[in-house]
Amino acid sequence: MKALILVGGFGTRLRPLTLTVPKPLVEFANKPMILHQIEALVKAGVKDIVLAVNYKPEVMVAVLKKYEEKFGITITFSVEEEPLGTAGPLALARDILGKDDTPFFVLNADVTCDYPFEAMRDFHNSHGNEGTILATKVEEPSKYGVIVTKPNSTKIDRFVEKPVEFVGNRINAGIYIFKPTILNRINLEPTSIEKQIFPAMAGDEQLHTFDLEGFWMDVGQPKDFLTGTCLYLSSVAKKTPHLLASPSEPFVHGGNVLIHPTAKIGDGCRIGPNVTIGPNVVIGKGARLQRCVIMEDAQIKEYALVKNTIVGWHCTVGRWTRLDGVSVLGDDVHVADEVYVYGALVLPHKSISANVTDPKIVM
Amino acid sequence: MTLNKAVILVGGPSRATRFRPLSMDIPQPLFPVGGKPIIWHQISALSKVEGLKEIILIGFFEDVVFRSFLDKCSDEYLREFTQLGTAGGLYHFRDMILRGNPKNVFVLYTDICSSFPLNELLKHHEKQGRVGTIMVTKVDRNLANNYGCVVVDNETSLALHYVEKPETYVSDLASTGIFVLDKEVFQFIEKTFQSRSADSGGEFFESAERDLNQLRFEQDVLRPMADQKKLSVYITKDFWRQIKSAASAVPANAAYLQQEMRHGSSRLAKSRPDGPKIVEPVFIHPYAQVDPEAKIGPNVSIQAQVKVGPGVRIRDAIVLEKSVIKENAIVLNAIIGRESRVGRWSRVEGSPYTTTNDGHEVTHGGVKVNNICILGQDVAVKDEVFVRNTVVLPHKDLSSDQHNEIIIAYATKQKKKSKVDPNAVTLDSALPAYAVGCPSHKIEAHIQCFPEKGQPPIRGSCVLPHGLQDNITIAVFAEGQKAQEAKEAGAHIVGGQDLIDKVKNGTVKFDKCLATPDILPSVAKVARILGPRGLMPTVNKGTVVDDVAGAVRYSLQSFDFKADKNNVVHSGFAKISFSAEQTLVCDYQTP
Repeated sequence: MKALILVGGFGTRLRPLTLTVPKPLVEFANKPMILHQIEALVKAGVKDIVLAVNYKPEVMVAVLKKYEEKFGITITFSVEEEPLGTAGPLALARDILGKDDTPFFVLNADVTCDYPFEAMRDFHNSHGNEGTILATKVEEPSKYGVIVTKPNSTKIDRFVEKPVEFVGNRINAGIYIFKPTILNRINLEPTSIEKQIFPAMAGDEQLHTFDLEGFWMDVGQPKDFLTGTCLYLSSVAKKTPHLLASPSEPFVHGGNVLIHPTAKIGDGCRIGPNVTIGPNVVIGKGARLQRCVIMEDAQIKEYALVKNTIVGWHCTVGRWTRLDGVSVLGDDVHVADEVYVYGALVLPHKSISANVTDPKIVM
Repeated sequence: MTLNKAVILVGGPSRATRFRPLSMDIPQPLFPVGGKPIIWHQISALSKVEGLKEIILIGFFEDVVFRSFLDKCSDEYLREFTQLGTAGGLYHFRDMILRGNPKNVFVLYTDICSSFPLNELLKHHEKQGRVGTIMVTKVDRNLANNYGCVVVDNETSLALHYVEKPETYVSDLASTGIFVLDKEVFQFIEKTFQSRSADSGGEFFESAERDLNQLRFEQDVLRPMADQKKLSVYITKDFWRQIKSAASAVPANAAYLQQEMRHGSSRLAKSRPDGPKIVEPVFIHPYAQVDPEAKIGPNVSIQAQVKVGPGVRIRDAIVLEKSVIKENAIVLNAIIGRESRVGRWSRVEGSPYTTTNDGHEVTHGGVKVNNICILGQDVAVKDEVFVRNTVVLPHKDLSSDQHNEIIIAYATKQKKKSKVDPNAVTLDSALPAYAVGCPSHKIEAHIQCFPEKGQPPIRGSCVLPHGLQDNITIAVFAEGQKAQEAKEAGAHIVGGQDLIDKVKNGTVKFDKCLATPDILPSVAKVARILGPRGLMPTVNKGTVVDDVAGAVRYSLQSFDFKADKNNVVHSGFAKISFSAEQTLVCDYQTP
């Protein structure tokens, strides 16, 4: 089987992290975002993975080379010369996706969930039509495109973009499986799969919906990155709790804490809920972490409080410093002792020695 | 040797409104800066003046406010019974001040912080030989309009002109509120006093009376003194600042601590291997407990019985008695009120004090905000909560982050758990101890209540297991069976038509009156007599009842209570001769 991952551009929404590392390599729960997807695809029997990108950084090539060897798969970069929307990249990768009759997956790189690729594949094969869209339920469907199915069927009747009246709460989760015949519908030009291809397929009664169990989040921006981390950690806590820090550890507070084995935690800390701590991180004694992501090699000094914040690689956070309000520290940022930082997006290699009391970008 | 005296004008509770919320439980002169009451610094400086034997405090606080403080010194406290104005107070107590025939009298305001170079001032004053000498300091030209400004002739040190808070620029030399006056000054005040009386004698002036009594020191004494070339000026270059707003206590605290550090005072805390990390200057009261893992300073005062946990950071702050700062909390540019609690990983932070304002406000995005963070008495900041640039009035729990707020609400919605002081003495052991000599003495409770805004006033009645009112007479209008019951329950006077007649004739007296519903129509005949005395039984008051026996018992043991305008309920609840069982209070009933 085959899969296409829509990586797209530079990940500007996740800056300043993506100024240092291409978005697919930003660690989500201590693992590059794209590796979560590759692992799940491999598990479902996928051998060929195409990355639809519009730039091809060396660092990414090198990392993915490693995965090719590790998993015994081929990973191909399909580089767009001009932006092709969400459907165009399929046409661009026609040679690989259409090389045999087996179906292929398409997924957005920003989406995190419990990827149900095997179940989706089985369902798709069972109905025999051209495509299946993974659907997730949301609380406020009025913000999204809602899927309306035919009565008592998984067959999609139509899509309603940002419905004013409630028509349903299932939305497109950004993960699909198609028969290669879909490629006949797409030309090599900028095309939206959601707006142009899907309505046509629904009209031909070729499109089904498959319900996603569990969490789903588009983690393309810092706020959602944190929320997605919380959802992911809750899911891990249910399914494979042994991967998380044991709640019996004295510093774990409220659970959902993922700590890399090489990280060091000082005495008297209170960590959790919903915290991920990367490799070689050092947490000083008496620190308080809650709902935050600490990336590799960062150092949180004594008595600091970090909340609703992404602390990038190699950062230091000073003693008694308080970070809050969806702050994001880029690579190698240093925050002085006793400082308060609220809602700051801090670009790499900066030092902060005065309070940042309102959300702003620190250049 | 010449005798000198000093007067400190301490003002009164209504003066210190800008010092709220700190003045709500500590009178401003007794608020500690640099580890000592504001007024202590003045008294201490005065005590070093040669020949100064007596310091007189003039103000309109209740005497008791200063009693415990003054017990340790030998000052006198004179209370103005009406507000006499600054000079009025001086003049009113002139006999007291002049007793012993002092040569010079220092006059100091209490709301200032200074190095008080009083000996130098006195020397300068005597050298110049004029009636009075005013100490001045150079202030920022743009802020001069906040002060009393003095124009000086530099060669002769003569004050040429004095003006209080001028709208336009007059001089950048501001009065420090420190003066030394020759005893002659009282004749000068008297003259002013009389000339003003004479001036206003002919014309109709509604508030003339008040105006005359309220002689103001600056306008009514200093200005004429300057005009008549009788005022010398002493310019100090040492530190000086006002302590007007509550926030300004923080820089005043810093100024005094730094002065002590320069003088190498042993009172200040030092870093020790087994103690907390100290960034000097810091004052830690000997009865405070500071964990060795805390980092304190600079410019921090920690008062008695404060507990500071490990990992705590405090800088530029005053922490008042019995506060608790828990682990890993951080306190910056703040005042923590008495008995307040700052939770783990909480942060209480004000903006640094700037010299361009009086510590009151800074602007933030065009909005004025408080720059020093102040927690009033008994404020609780929950774990991990951030309180920034906020003033919190007493008795408030904060469980969410607060920025640039003034939090007034008194009580929280949730029920407060009653706290029991572990050191409290139980009633049964306390009562016999007090009983010596006066067994009928009442024990009173004074309960400060904090009702939420908009709540009905606090009042109701309370049943005590043992009545206190042994000399009240209860009358009951009832007949037959009910009359018998009432009598048995302890009613003093019981009757039907006969009692109504007695009331009509005025031959009976009682303090409380009950009636059964069936006899009420007959009692209505004497309503004109009972009504005005507040004795007419009504259903609303619960004095018209079927169960007269119960009502009589209730009346004997209960009393009505009502909170005064400060929400304090005063009531007696026992007598010293009672046993503990007799004093156990049952339930309060409020409407």
